[in-house]
Amino acid sequence: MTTGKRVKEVSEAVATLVIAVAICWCLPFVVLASPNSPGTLLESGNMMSMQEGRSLLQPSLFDYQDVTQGILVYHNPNGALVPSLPLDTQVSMRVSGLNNRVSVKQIFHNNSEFVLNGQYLFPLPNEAAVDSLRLHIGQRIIEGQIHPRAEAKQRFEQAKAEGKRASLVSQERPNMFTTEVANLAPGEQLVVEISYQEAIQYEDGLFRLRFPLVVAPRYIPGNTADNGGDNDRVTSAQVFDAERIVAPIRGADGDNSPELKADIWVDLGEGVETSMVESPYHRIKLNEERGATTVSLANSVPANRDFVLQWRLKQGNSPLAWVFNQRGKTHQNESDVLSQGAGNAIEDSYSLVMVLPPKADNHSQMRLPRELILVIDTSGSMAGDPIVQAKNALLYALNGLTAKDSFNIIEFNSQMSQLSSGSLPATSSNLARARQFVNRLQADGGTEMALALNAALATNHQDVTQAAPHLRQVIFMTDGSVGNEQALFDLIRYQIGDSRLFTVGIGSAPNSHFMQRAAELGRGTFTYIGKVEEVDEKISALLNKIQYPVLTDIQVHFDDGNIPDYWPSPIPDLYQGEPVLVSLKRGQREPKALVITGRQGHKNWQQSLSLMDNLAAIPDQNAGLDLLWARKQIAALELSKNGTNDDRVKQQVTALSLNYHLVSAYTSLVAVDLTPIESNAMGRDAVVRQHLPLGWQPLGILPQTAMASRLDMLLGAISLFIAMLLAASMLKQRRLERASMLALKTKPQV
Amino acid sequence: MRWQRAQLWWLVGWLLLGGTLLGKGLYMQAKAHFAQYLIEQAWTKTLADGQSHKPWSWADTYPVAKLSFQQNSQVSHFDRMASNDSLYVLAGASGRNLAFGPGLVLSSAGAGDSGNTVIAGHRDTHFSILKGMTVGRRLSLQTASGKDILYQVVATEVVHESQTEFMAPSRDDRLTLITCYPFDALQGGAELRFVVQAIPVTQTLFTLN
Repeated sequence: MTTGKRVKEVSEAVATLVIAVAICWCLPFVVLASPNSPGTLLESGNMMSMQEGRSLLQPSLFDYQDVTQGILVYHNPNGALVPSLPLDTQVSMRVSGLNNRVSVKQIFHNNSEFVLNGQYLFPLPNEAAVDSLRLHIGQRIIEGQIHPRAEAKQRFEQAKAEGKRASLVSQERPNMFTTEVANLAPGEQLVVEISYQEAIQYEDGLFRLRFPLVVAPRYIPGNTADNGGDNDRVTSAQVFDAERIVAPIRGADGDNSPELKADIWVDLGEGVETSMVESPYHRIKLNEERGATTVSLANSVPANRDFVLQWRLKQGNSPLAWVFNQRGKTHQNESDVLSQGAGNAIEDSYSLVMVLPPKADNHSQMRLPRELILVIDTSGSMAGDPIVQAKNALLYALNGLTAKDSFNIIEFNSQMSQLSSGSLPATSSNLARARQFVNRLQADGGTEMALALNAALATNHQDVTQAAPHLRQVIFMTDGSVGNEQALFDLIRYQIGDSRLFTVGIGSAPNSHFMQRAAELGRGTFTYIGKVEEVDEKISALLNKIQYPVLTDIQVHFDDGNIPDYWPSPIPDLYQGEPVLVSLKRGQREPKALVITGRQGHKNWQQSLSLMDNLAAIPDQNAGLDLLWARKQIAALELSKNGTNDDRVKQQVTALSLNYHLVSAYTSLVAVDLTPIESNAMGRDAVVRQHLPLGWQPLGILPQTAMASRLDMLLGAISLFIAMLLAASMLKQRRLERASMLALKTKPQV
Repeated sequence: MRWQRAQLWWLVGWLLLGGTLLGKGLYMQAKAHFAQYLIEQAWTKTLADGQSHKPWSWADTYPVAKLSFQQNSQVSHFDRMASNDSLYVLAGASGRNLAFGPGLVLSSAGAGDSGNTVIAGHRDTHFSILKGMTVGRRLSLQTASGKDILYQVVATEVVHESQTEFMAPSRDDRLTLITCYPFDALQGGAELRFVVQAIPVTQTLFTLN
C-alpha cells in the first residue's frame, strides 16, 4: 500500500514537471504568435503589390472579362489564361497475327461560346507507323494528306485564318504526337481519327501490346525558363523543341478541368486462349463470338496510365515461324497509279517474317561471371510508387548475385552518386552495404541521365576480373522522362564498348521510345514494371534471360545469296524466348525463299523458309506491311544520324514518309475542310490538359514545411493535465473512503 | 472497487497518451535544435577541405550552405535568440531532411550558382525566424567554397502551395526561402506558403560579424 502511494506521488511529480517544461516551451511561441508583430501588416501589402505587378506582365491572350458564362480556364506556366478543352479518346484495334491496325478517335467538344483552336499532346506506341488522318465533321469525312512538316503547318494556318475547320497531326518524338484543330465552332464536336500500324510483341508464346494513354512530363536538361520576364517560354540549350513536348497538366484535387476518358476495344481474332487474356493494369470485358475474341475495357478509364494487354494462342497454335505477305502499297500515290494505268505494273511485295529460334540448351552454356552495374533513377519524377518499385527491383537483383560476380550501384538525379568508385565483389558484407545504400535512396531533383550513363558505361580496365572472361551488364531502371533522347542515344552508341545495356521501364507511363532504342543501341533488352507486385517475377525473368544472348550475328539472305531490302538492319542479338522479326521488301523477280542464319553459342544456326506459303491462315493479315517496313527503315535512318549526315537523313526520311504516307519528324498529316464555318464568335486558343500519370506526386506543390510538433505538445500537455486531475480526484476519493472506514471502525468501540 | 480499477486504467491511459504526444513534439523540436550542432561540425570540415561531409554516419544528406540572418537595427527582445543563429542548409528538401535543418531544393540552383536558389524550412522550427522578415533585411549565404554572398530581401509574399513559379529557374541570381504559413498555426499540412525573395547585394563592403 505504501509503495503504491510512493509510486503515485513520484509519477505525479514527474507529470507536473513535464507539464511545466511544456508550458515553458510553448510560451515563447504563443507570445511570438500574437497578431501585432511587425511582419503581418507588411506581408499583405506586399502581396497586393506583387499581384498587381504580375497581372501587368500577363500577355493579353485571354481575359477574365471575356468570361460571361461557364468556361474552364487555367493559367499556363507563363501565367497566360488558356481555356481547357474536353476530349474523349476511343481506341479500336484489330489484331491479325502479328499485325495490329489501330484507329484512335479523339473527340473534341467545344462547350464554350468561342470558336476554339485546340491543341493536344498525346502518346502513341513507340513503333507506331501513323499513316492516316480523318477529320469527321458531322457525317462528312475529310481525308488527311501527307506533306512536309512546314508545308502542312502552313496549310493548316491558312485554313485557320480563313475560318475553315482543319486538323494537323505532327510528330514530336517517335512516341509523342500533337493534334491541332482549328475553328471548332461553339457547341460543336469534331472527331479526329488517327490510324496506325504496329507489330505485336511476341515472346515465349506470349503476345503483348501496349497502348500509352498519357505523356509523362519530361525533364528538360539545361532549362532556362524564366518567369516574370517578357519572354515567357520554356527554352533549353540542349532540347531545342522543349516547348512542344511539355504537356499542360490538370491540377491536383479541386481542379475542375474535364477528365480525359478513354475507351478501348481490341479484336483479337480467332484461336485465342480466352483464359489467358490478361490486362494487368485495367479491368477488361471478354467477349467470344463464333471463335473470335474481342476485349474491351470494363468501363471508360481516366487516361492516366498505359494500357497493356497480353494473351496466348490455344495449345498447338503457337507459331515457330510466321510469314505475312502483301502486294503493293497501302497508300497509292500518283506515280503508282500512273504506272499501273500504263500496264507495266511492277508491284513490290512486302513481308513480315517471324522465326522463333530453338531453345538454347542450358547445360551447353557455361555460366560466366557477371559484372552487374545497377543504375537507378532517383529523380523527382520517380517519387511515390515508382521509386518503391525500383528499390524492390534493385534489392531483388542483388539477391541474384553469386560469389563469382561483381557489382556496383549508381544513383542519379541532378547529381550522380555511386556505391563505390569501382565494381565490388559480391561478398555478403558488400551486399549488406549495398542494401543499406538502396534503402536510403529517395526521389528528388532532376534527371541528368548523361552523368549516370557515362559512369555506368565507363569500363574500369584495371579491374581485378579483367583476366577472366565476364559479362558486363548494365541494368538501367528509369521512367525515361527526359526530353534529350537523341543526345543520350549518341552517348550510348559511342560508349557502350563490351557492356550490354538492359533498360527497365518503371511506373505507369514510361517513355517506351527511350527504353527500346537505348536497349537496342546497348545490345540488350527492355522490360516494363508497372506495379510493385510484378517486380519479383519480371526481374528474375530478366536476370535469367540475360545470362547470355541466345542468337547473335543474325543475317538474312535469299536462297540465291542476294541480300533483300530488310529492316531492322543489323538485326539485334536475341535473348531467350525472343523471335527474329524482319520486315522486307521484295521485287517480283526476286527469289521466293529466304535463309536466316545466326550463331547460337558455338554452333551455327540456319533456317530457310519460303515467302510464299503462309504458315497461318489468318484473314486480313496483309494490310499495312509496307507501312511497317517503311517505319522500321525510318527508325534505322534516324538512328544513323551522327551530326554530319543530318541533312541527308532528313531528305531520305522525308522522301520515304511521303512515299508511304507516314507521319515522321519531317512530315505531318493535314486535313482541311472546304467551306468556312458560320459563326461570328471570337476565336480563342485552347489546350487539352492531360492527367498526371498514375502514382505521380502532383507537381506544382511547394515543399511541405509544417509540422504538428506544437499541436502534439499542446495535446500532450492537456492530456497530462487531465491525468493529473484524475489522479487528484482518485486520491481525494480514497482519502474520504479511508476516513469513513475509520469512522465506521471506531464507532462501535465508543 | 471496480470503479477504482477503471479509474486507474483511465489515469494510466491519459498519462501514456500525454507522455507520447508531448514526447513526440519535444523530440521534433529537440531534433531540429540539436541536429544543427552536429551539422555545424560537418560544415566546418567542409569549409576546411571543400568536400561534402555527412553530419552523422547514417545520414543521407550533407550541409551545402550556411544561412545567416543579419540583425535588425532595433532588436526586439524576442528576436535576440533567433537572430544570432546561423542555419545550416542541407542538400534536398525531403521531409526527413527538413526535420534537421532547412533544405536546399535539389532541382534549383546550388548555393552560389547562378539562377534561383530555393531553400525550404519548417515554420515551427528553423524558419520560424522568417516571421519577422521584411523587405530590405539582409541575409548572408556561405557556400562550400567559403564565399559569403550577401542578399537583400526584395519581396515577401503569402502564396498557395500550387504556385510553383517561385521554384522555377530564373535567369537572374536570387535566393528564395519557403516556409509554411500561417506561422502560428498549430496543426501540420498547411496549404499556404510564406515566400521570401532576395537578390544579391553587389557592394560587398558589408562584413558579417
